[in-house]
Amino acid sequence: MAEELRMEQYLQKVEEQIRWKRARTAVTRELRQHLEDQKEVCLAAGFRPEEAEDEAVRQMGDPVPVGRELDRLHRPRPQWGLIALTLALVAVGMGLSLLTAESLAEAARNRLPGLLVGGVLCVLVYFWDCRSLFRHPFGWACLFALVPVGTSWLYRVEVNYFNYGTWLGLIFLPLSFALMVYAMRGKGYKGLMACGLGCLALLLLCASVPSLTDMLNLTVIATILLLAAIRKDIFRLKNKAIGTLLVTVPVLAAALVGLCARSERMEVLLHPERYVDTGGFAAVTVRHVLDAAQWLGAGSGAVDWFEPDFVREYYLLTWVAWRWGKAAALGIVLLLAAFLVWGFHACFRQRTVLGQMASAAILLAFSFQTLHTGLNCLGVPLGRFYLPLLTESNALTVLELALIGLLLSLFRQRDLLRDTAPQPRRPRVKKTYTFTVSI
Amino acid sequence: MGSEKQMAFGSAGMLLLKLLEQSDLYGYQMIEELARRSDHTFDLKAGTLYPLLHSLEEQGYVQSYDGAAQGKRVRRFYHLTSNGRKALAQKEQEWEAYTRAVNQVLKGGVCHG
Repeated sequence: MAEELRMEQYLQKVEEQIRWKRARTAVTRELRQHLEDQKEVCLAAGFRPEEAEDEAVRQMGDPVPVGRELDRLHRPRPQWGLIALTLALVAVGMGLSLLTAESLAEAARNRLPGLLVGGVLCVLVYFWDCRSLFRHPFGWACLFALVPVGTSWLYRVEVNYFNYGTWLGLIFLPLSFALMVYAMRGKGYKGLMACGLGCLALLLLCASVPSLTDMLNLTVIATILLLAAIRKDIFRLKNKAIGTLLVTVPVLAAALVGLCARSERMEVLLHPERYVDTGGFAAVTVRHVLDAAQWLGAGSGAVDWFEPDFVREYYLLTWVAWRWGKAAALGIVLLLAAFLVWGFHACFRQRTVLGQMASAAILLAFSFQTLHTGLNCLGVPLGRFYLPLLTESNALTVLELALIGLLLSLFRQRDLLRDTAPQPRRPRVKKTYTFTVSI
Repeated sequence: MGSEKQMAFGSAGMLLLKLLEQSDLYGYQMIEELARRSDHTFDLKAGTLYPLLHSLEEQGYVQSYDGAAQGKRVRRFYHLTSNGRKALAQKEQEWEAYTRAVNQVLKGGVCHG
């Protein structure tokens, strides 16, 4: 037992210098492995166990400066800028609710439950040890894929055959797919194919809503993640070009088929004014509103708004442009853009493949929602979208804050996260058969 | 003194990057390999190695991952990144220029003859 203590004492001295408690074990694990290797070599050279351990510890050097240096290198890295931008978005969302609601009680009812539950969830996820994602990527991928099922169970709201509950949870699917890709690392073409099948399963969830635009969104995000994974050689493909073709050809073919099958939808998208009585009505109204809007101050003339609640939910920027001027709407867009740019900057600074993939998936989901909402609010009828943290929906706020909590957690624990190498492939054993023919 | 320390840090970092140029290694292997290649001129202490490796990782020159070593034991391996490869090429050029200049001084200076 005494021999264990000597090594343990050394490691304890190093650990004492490291202030971030969660980092201690991770950092000293490597030193422990080194001490064990050194001790084994000494034992093989004929040292007695105590001497071998003494020698291993001696070769490590003074534990205090080592620990201090490791403490300097291993600190939590909170993204204060991103946290401030999140709070600013929450404040703007709250402000919009207060300005547009008929009473303070209505604004509180529309915002506070989501902010309170989401805020608590965000803080819990922020301080959660997200190394668990690295240990069980497939399990987490499955769990996140079930979020739409959970939300559909919680919100059994169906309007015109549109399953609102399932739709709410679709925002977790890009993250689920990123984890799926990570779980398939090192598995070659089979892994790539499995990711394709996984993507199809996730697309079926979008189809069950049904939401064609969310299917498109997910397809584009999944393609970006897969191409990035191939470029980073995550699958260890023999030929990256073949892998790229295996991803792009089916996606382009599906896009072509989709365009042909939904040509009338495309027609409405491009010329909503020709379909005022059907799908183009909202877009045409939005265009009229924007024409009446001014850069500063309320818009001129009377505008026939369709359902104010619906407008506030899906055409928030148009609403803001008309009520307070286009400059106010532009300010909101710039705030969201700053959040996303900051996020992507931190994403590219992630050291681990999973850290990059997961944060990119969350940010891409938010980016596509913002982009589509922006276009929707400019009069391009794309479908139902929302602005992260701004659209008035308690359920969405909770889900978005949970995702932001995870994003901030990944960035904060950047130094602690480690990719795990894929399991080495089993060498193929060629079966040999011997036939003996006796005559 | 500061520049000397930085130079020593820089050259040790360069040697570690050079070791990783051919294959991914874990800490103990690096010390052994460095000692072998330098004929035991550079016997790096583990206490110096790991902070240095973590610092190289912080700068994005190496990337670490947990992998299986001999005997199925898990070890933290280090992999040279493309940024690390570029930094190594630059360091090697600087080192060659430096040793050339030192040699020229030792041999009596450049002849402008």
